Amino acid sequence: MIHARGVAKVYENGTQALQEVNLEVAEGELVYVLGASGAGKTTLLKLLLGMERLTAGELEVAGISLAKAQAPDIRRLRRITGSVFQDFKLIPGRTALENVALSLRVLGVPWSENRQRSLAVLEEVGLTDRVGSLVQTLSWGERQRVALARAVVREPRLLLADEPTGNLDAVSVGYVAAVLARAGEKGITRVVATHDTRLLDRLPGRVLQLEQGRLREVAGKEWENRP
Amino acid sequence: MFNNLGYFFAEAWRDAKNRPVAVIFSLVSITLLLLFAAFVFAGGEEAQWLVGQLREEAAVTVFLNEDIAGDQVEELEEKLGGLDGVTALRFVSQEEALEEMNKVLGSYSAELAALAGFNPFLSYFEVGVRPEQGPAVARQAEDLPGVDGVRDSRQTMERLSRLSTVLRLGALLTLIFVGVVMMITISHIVHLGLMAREEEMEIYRLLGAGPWFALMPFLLQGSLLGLAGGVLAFLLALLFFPLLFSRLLAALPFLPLRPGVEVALAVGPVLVVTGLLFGLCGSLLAQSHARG
Repeated sequence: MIHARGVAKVYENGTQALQEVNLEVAEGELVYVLGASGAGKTTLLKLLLGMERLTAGELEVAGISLAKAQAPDIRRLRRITGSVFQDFKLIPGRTALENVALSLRVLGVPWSENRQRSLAVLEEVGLTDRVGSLVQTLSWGERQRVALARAVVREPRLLLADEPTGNLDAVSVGYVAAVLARAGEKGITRVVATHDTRLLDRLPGRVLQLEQGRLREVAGKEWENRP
Repeated sequence: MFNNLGYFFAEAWRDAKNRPVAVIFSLVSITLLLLFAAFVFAGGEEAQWLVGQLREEAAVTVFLNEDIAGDQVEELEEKLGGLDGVTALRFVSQEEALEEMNKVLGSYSAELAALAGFNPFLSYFEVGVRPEQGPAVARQAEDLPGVDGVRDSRQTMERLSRLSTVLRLGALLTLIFVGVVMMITISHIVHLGLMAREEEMEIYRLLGAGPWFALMPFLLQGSLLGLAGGVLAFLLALLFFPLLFSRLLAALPFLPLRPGVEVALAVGPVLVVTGLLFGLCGSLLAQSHARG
């Protein structure tokens, strides 16, 4: 699903966010990318979603080469991807249901089917009683779950989640883990950037560590001994 | 795209509801602009109609002397009929002339006749002519015995026709001018909407939406705004034109003007189409600015 060779990203201000990143992710795999703030996790996910251009190297996601991708390629990639952003990127003034349903609207799914699927996913993340609530009235954890629901409702081929459990209580972490697990059962490839090891405890996966822009595989439960 | 049509309309409506004052002001401006265009356009259309109506009347009118005898009339008819270029001939007696004028002037004609104490009209021949030979026929008819005078209405028609063309051109230019002002107004309101929802549109893009997904509600909004302005202007024309034209008819009873409702109905489709078209153009203009 993901092939990265010598990927580097240098921002215009000269910051080297990623360097010599090599990564292979198979279809249906769950990969955690650990790292402290500023390690380059978000940049990596942005590259995978076509939000940023790589400076060097080769990056291919679902057969789309992102080094030379044009706008239609990026659009095609995003249509098969579900994304959970660190700042959620929910639309204020809209209900939880409307935000989730937007994911399928973009794909042109008819409203009757869209509504049914969106409600089912909101139930899955434990927000049945909040479907009609405006997102700005939801708690932080609830918003995070709405964002996750929006990402998985379209049953994407690739799920990218940036700190999906950041600042969440244990119950919410449980919901997120359950949703990620179910996504795995459906064969969805998942890349989760996090520094929250509670998720790794609940749902094991391959763990990679990003440090100063460099990615390395973490063997066994080495991550448990991280400072 | 069609699966989301209802959603696009709902979004357009939602955006309009979020800034009702701006949208209402725009709608009022567009309606008034189109109503102004409707008056000018109706003027041009009515002038054209008038020329068409008058064209149907005789091209050359040959008035006879008051004291002309019956056999002289027959002789004159024969001579006129023999002139080169004459295609039709009809004799109208003094009584018929009065009757025809009665139809046009109504009560004014009776008052005129009562004032004069006698029938003031002359009997005449309506002479149909081939277009290029009108002036020649008129010249030759003038010299015939028993002829009091000749009126070649073709020249008047040509002048009226030219005037009508100028009026119609003016109406078209006014329509374009109004359309451009309308386009700018709509473009401005749509642009404000686009700017207010910039972040939202970024989210659409991140979800894989094409450019039209985000822009469609605004395209609909501008088009509907123009369309609504056109429909409102049409309704106002239906209200005002009968009043205006009844006044005009009262002041100028000899002009074969159409009833105001008929004129409003003729102008209506132009208003609606202009509203829709320039509304759409305004939205597209705003979107091209936004993309830039």
